[in-house]
Amino acid sequence: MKPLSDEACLKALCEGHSSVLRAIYQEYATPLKHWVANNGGQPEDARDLMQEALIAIYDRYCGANASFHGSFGGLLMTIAKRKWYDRLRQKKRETDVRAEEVYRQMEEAPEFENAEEAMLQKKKMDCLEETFRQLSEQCQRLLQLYAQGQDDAEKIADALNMTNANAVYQARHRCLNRWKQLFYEHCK
Amino acid sequence: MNDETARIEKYLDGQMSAEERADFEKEISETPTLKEELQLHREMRLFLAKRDRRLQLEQQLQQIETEHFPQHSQAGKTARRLMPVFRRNWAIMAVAASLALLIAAYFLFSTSLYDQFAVHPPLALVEKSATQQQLQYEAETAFNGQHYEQAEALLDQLLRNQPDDDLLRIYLGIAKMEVGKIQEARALFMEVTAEDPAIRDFAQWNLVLSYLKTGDKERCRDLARRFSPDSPYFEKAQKLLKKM
Repeated sequence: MKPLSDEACLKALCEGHSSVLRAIYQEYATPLKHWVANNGGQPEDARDLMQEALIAIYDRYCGANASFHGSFGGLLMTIAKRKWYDRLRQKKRETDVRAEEVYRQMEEAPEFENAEEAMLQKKKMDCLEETFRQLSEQCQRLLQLYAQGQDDAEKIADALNMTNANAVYQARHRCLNRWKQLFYEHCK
Repeated sequence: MNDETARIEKYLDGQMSAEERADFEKEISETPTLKEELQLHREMRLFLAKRDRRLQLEQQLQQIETEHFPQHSQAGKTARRLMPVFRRNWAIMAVAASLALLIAAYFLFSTSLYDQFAVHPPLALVEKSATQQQLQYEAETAFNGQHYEQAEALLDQLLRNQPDDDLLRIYLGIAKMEVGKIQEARALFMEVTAEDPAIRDFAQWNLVLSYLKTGDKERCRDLARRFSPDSPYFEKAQKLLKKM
């Protein structure tokens, strides 16, 4: 099978091409399982790390104004290892020696800084998701309609059974403020 | 914090005059808290723009990962642990039986709601070539006659010959959904990347139905809320949301 290029992997992740995503799992799931097993984890841990790493890459490198020119596989594995290091540090019963060994391995990886950035971005996006879900149903729908490019406030008012465009503007303002407040309370 | 929301949104929407904009940018450069708040607004916009795709990606990955990571089913382990307890404790069994009835009622309800909404439009394929004609005719007859197992096989064959045809992909997904191959159906709906928003919404609507069928109301609601008022599926989605 032809090896996947870094660009093809990133494009598949950004656009959701299942066949290439499958090929990414085909290529990286086994080495990651072995690495996790050698560092005190189970296959389920590897599964979670793989998904978290792919979502982190999506958060950081998919969309306008984002570009990545390194090794996709290197980045994927470095994020997964970095995540595993965090978990080891959180488990009190684990020895520091193992965690430090994991840290040493990934610190030397060329994708270390990109991995850190991707993890930070994922953390932010996770927090935004968590706090967004705490908004009222109407707030969620209103903000989503704006995000979909629907900027005709009269149409939004009709769709959400609101009295008029002015009510929509005020509600949007309120919803954004509530969301920010939740974000600052939970994620800062 | 709250007072700045309107100004920041106006700035990001490009609705400030040149003078206003210059003043605001100067203020940003001198006020770290305002700069931070502006950055948060940018992140919120980015989040909303990418949210649908991110949720879809999570679903896709969960489905693909089952092929590469064996499932260690917690449900299976729990069931095995509970068996001896059940033999000893009739009271627990009674509670379990009641729960089972409730769950069954819940799924019956979900299924009937699914039946109300899963009225699939008839399959009418555009003739691609003479050699495909017979296959297309058979697929249409099977699908429109609700012989979904047969339709699944025929549509699968057609899609192999026309892998770029998103409508075929959606109809194959519907056939799979109807025969209970939900994960495969969802994967097909999520693979639709047609430029035509009506086709993308058709796929999205069927994704909603797939969650309705399995009783995942939270996900079903979440997806149903995303149709824009311009979408042909907006009204149906609103009706479904009300009934749920």
